[in-house]
Amino acid sequence: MKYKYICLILLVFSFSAYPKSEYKLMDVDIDYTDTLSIQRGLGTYINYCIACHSMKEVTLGSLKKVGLTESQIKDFVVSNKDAKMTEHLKSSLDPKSAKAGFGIVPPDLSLTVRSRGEDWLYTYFLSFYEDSQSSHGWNNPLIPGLAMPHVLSNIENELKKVSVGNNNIKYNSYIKDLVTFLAFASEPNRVDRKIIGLYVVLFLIFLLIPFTLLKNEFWKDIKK
Amino acid sequence: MSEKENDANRRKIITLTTIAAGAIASVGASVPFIASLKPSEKARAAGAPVTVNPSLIQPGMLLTIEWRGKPIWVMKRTETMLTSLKKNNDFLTDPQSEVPLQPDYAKNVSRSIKGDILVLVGVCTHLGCSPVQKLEVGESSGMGSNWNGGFYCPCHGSKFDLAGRVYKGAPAPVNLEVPPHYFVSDDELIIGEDQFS
Amino acid sequence: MNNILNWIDRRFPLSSTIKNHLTNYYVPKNFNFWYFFGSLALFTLILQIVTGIFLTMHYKPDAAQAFSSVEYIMRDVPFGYIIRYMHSTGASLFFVIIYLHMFRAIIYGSYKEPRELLWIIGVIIYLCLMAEAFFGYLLPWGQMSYWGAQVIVNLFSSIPFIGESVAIWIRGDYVVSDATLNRFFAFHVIALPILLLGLVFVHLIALHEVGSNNPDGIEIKENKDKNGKPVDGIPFHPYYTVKDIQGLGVFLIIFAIIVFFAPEMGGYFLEHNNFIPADPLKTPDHIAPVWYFTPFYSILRAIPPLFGSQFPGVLAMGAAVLILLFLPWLDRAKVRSVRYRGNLYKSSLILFVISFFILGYLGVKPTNVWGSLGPIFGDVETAVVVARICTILYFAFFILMPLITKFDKTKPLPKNLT
Repeated sequence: MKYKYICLILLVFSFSAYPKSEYKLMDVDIDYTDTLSIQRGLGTYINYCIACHSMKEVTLGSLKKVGLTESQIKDFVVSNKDAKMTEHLKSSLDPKSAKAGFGIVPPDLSLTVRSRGEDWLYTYFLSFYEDSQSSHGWNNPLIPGLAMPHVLSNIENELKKVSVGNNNIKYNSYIKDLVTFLAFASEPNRVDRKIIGLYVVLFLIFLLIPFTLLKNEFWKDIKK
Repeated sequence: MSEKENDANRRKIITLTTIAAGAIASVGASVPFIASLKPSEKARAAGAPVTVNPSLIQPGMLLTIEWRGKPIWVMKRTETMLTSLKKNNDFLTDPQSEVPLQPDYAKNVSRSIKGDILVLVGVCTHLGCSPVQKLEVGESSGMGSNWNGGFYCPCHGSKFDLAGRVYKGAPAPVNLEVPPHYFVSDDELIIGEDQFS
Repeated sequence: MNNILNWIDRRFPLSSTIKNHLTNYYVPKNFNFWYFFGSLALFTLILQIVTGIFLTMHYKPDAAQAFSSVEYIMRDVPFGYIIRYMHSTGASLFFVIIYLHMFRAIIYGSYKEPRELLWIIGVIIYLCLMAEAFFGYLLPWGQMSYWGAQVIVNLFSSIPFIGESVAIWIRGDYVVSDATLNRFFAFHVIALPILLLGLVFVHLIALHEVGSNNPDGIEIKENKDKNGKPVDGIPFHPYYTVKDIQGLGVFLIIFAIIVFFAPEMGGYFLEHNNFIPADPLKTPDHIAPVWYFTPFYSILRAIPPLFGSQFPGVLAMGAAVLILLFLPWLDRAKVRSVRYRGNLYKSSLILFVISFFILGYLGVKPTNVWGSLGPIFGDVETAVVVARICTILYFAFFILMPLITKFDKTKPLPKNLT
């Protein structure tokens, strides 16, 4: 009885293990090689997010991977010409004041895409709604009663105004850029990993040829 | 060739091919491990060039900074100090700095780009202790009445002059090292790389 | 070359060892797919040790620095991410290999006389491997690392009377903390690897003393030719060295595909919550052990508490693993291999396998994953009922085995290997 096939069939039941969200998530297709999108998302992070959220595992040097030069990073990302490339993206918000003001320290975003998922983050930014019951006037179905206001609400309104047909296409694209940057920041080596992986796997498949020839050659002896 | 010899030959060829392919695979597999031992970005950044403002140094004084974990001396020498350098030549092991321990632009009597600013790696060329400053001339320095100012290494007694050149009779074999450096302006001295590298 | 060999052989049993354990060591000729996993396990052990050494060069075993040091390896150490993914993938694949390796022993009766001690050493290795994985999982100091360790160490506190003291002693503190991290690091990097290497060596000595079993379950040593060599045996080298190399080649392809294209494996090999730094003040919504522990975790959860203590569940979980040790004596059949057993045994085995998988799946999910059975049944959760049934089926395989194997209608054994 071919037990290995039974085991294989049972093994096929693998479900993705992201923490379950009851809210239906929107699908976003991130292109990790789109360095311009990542740069735009980085711009959004610097202009709107770094005020509260650090990304302390992300080094300034890693931003060179998306096409920025060292001087561009020093001038536009941290505005500090003495900055070292090994420094990390740190928020100027003091954790104690954050706790006092928001009740929670704004979480570090270095690995947020790896813990929550691209779709969750995309949906999160697109799901803010006005709520008079909340202290800052906003709420979000993905984090009910959240402490973070809709920081990008002005952007959303501006982009809606200049969109043809007053829809959200431009804002969606803006958020996609932000998520692409966050995704890059979660794993800067991802693109390299896949390129190297292709060569490795192809070589290993090729390696099977001499291995199989060798095995068959010796096992001819046993075919009596 | 008989059937058996053919088989044995075939076997040998396939075995050798497999061993060769396996060797290539092993070398390839070892690349990430060996590469991971290279200095990381953090280590490389720590070894990056440093900037100093020499106009803040008083004449006759020496500033010590750190580069690549080593003490670097930046000294603003006075006219008197510079003229005294020639007097030492007969007592030095390598007065013309023949041994290449300095960039070409520092291969001169004062071992510097601009006569007054001297940049030295403050590590004795004998066994690596850091020499102490003995900048005063004569008896008051404790180095004897013929002393023209310089540096003294307490570990084994090596002596260097105000251009970092080693005195004869010292255990240290060669002059103190001059690291690559260049002036962006009078206020900005970059230590750790050449101007055109 | 020969002179060097002679010089060595006078002083060290090199040639004789190669002869006795490789070129003149006879092994059944009918090894199939299930026989790859021993050599693959050895390879994976070496792989984990080598990748582990290189990770230890950059990792910082300090609660304040551990998480960032792992990200340093992932981002700044040249090719550090490859080494890290190899280590995490290797850990999970190690358990896939070991479960398949153990399953081979079960279906072919490789634990039966005279291989009982070989099997026992193997179960001890399995226990050490579980400990090694548990200690290692704390090191990245993520949310799952921290809370998984907290939950498991708390299981020890359920032991009556001495439990709390034992838990504090294990942790070196009142909660999982820097002290715990440092000692788990010492266990994971040095203590258990040395133990594992020693046990694997002993495991191989025991194996070579009795010789391998085979898919037909008959002893090849009972049928020798006029030279004293088993008729159905072939020298391990070159035949099985060459076959195992081919098996390794296939394994490496699967390994590389995962490492380079799917290292997270949907959140099972690298759990999503573990990319959040450990926070002693915030428990994640759902704590589950890593997938390879989940069948036993399910059993723990399935047993209801007694007098408010979870201890019976803990005992059941321990029993589920330790009962493996008794397999050689629970099995009363006269045949070894499932090929010659009857339908009674085969059904029991299939139920056991299916239960193991269902328990494993349920262990990853919260207990309300399949809803409740409704008010008629007191609103008990479906998953809990299923877990309890599967727990019973799991233990039934072992407990009923003496009866089943006594009355099972076996088939006549062949004279030679098929």
